[in-house]
Amino acid sequence: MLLEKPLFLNNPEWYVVDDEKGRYLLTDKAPKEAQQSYIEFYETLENSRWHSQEFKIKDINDYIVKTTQDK
Amino acid sequence: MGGRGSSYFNRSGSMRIKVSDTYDQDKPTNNRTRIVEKLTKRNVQVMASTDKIPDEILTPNLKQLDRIMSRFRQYSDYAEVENLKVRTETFSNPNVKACFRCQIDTFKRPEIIFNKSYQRDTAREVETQVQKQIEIGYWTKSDRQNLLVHTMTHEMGHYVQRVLTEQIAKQRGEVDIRARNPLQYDDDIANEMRTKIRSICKNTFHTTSTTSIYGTSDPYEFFAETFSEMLTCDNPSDTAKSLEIYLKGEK
Repeated sequence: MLLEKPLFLNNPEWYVVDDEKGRYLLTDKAPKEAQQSYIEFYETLENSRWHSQEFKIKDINDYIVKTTQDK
Repeated sequence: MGGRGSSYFNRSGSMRIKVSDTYDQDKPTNNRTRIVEKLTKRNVQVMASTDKIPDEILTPNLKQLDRIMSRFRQYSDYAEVENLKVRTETFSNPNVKACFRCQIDTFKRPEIIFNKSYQRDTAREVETQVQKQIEIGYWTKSDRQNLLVHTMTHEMGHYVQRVLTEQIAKQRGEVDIRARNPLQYDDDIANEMRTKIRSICKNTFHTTSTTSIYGTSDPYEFFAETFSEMLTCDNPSDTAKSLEIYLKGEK
């Protein structure tokens, strides 16, 4: 159980809730520090759950949804 | 966090997040208080690493654990569960207050680990920390008299969900399927539980399921947060009431 709200949840424009999976995803508006916070949050969460398992977010882009249109 | 003295790099590789691992050295406590003896009979071992947690914090939490074990005997007496250990470790990330940890493939080495930072806290400080997280909506609500046991109740939610998952796999004849990919299986069951609890909420109370910001992190935290609210609030949300209905047999 984590005590403090991670930085990526401080701005509603930086994240969305994936209702199907029941977890947060980042938006493409999230700055680098929010991405960093997201990685630390989910790696800490996943790795505190089971013995002998190591969860790593290999590519943050897998967790980013597009909210802005390409020009 | 990752088991045996584990550590890992964050994306930048600049910071290691570590947790110590004294599982094999940690012996049962010599403080054989009444609650410790009572829990021993329930197959809960309170370990010596908890000795330095102030009694005003430890004892109410152990009593809460005992109440939960008593109320949910169908999970606490589950034959395939090893003794649950209550321990402390050092987390390099001070934001981790506690965790429930277990082997993924079999129900071995279940443990509730509190951060050693509790050794430096007073009961009042713990209550204040919890109250703050509730006020900003990050954690689910608890009544004032239960703030101190909020985290223990949350971690027991993880324990109950894990036992439930094992039981569901057995009832459905899916033990072999789970054995092939326990992470995926448990993720799927946790998601299924969340969907069912939300469905009960909609059908019974005609409201949309709600949880805390932290409970939205993933289906495991949804369950643990809702479980904590269910047991620490006299007037819980419809979502928490729905979990109670689910646990009574809508599985």
